[in-house]
Amino acid sequence: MNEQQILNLFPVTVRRLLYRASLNWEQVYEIRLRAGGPLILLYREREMFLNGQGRLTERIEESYQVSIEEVEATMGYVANYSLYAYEEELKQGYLTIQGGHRVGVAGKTIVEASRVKGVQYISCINIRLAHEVKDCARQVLPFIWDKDSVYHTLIISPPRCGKTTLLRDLIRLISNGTKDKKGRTVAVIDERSEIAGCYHGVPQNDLGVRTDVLDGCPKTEGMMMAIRSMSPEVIAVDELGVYEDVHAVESVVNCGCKLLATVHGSSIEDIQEKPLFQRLMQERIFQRYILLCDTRLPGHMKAVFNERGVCLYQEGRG
Amino acid sequence: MNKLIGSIFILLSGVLLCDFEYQKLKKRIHMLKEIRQMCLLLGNEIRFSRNPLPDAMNHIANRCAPVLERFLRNTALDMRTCHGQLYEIFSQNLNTVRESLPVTKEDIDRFICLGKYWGFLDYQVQMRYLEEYEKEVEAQITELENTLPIQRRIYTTAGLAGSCTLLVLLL
Repeated sequence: MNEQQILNLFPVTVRRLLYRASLNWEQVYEIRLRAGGPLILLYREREMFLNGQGRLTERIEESYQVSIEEVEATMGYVANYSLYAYEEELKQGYLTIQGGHRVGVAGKTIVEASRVKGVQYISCINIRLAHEVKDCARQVLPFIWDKDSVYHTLIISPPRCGKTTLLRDLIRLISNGTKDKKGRTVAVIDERSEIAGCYHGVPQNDLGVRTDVLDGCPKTEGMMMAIRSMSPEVIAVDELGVYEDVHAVESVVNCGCKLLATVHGSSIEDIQEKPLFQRLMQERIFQRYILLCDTRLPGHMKAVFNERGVCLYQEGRG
Repeated sequence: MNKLIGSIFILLSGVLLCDFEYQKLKKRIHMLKEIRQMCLLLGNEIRFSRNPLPDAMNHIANRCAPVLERFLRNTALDMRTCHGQLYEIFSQNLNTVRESLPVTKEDIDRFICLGKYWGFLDYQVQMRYLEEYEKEVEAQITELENTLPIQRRIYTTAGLAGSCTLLVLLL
């Protein structure tokens, strides 16, 4: 992780405090700035405040208060003084920056014809730092390897449980191959630039030697583009969420490609109840469902199910 | 003989001095065209790839005049390291290449103003500012080009007349 790159996202005052705090950046997960509120860090799996001397504290009354000017300046730096370049992303309330870090914003939304056109008067910023945790997918791998390929796999996890981190490592392992398994050509449709963290089209994260990345490409179009152009054996996408994604998933499966995908959810029942996934589950498109633990350890499996819903692994039971 | 040589020198220097002014005007027009070209490239870069400004600037830098290339690269670098407001970064970097820009203070001020409006709001507003500036530069170029032959005549006449007057006074 490039520390300087992260520090450069903040105005000098905040930058100085973060610098003084001598943080281990590998253990910083989130930095939250709210106008008139404390500077909050999710550090070593705990919520901490930063005080005016740049020391971490758990006492809110000692915390450094972020001003609206600092939030505005941060927004300018985050967007490289080019908010127009992130217009489409801002409509969804976040933008992804170099390194694959996600910056969530909140403020006054501009609505036009019942649709969010953008966000102005941004007063809250949440910077979620992307972490590359190599080998975190090792324990998952045996469950998703078929004899000579991989199963169609859906990773289910609540937010902030490391599903993107797990997917990233799975892609790397499948692409590179292991001692007894040959590497596979993987196409990554990285709609939000979070998986590969591409900069000028070049992945900044290690996704393996046989991986092609379509950066910033909508999933629906990207999946078909990848099939036509890169003839992948495996396609990986993050966060399925709309009907178009589901249609594209069906096309991928019909093309003979294997699919790795993630979705927000807390249990397999939770997914079954979502109308979006009902058909996919009824048709048993996904052959493996990996359910992640609600802990801060990326890739920590809670359970694994097959296409029939039979539990293949349960945490604590093995 | 000495008087004759002296007179020729005075006449020549008068004409050359005025030609120097004329050349300055030509260089100014040329630089304005380079600036217009830079805006055009920048606009295309933003329109096509929606790149953030530092990326767009770096991409087009090698297709611009050396002085503008230096300005674009330095500005992009400063924007990446994020110090201060965009307007400040823009004018600071413009000031460092100011000496090498054969344009007037008025042209520089107009160019600096562009930095005030860059980066804000949406893509359409961004492009409108850029197009507006391009139009202003275009109008300035047209105006200067139209006056160029007249200016040349004025400079030559003024140079000759000035030298002749000086000659008469000295003789």
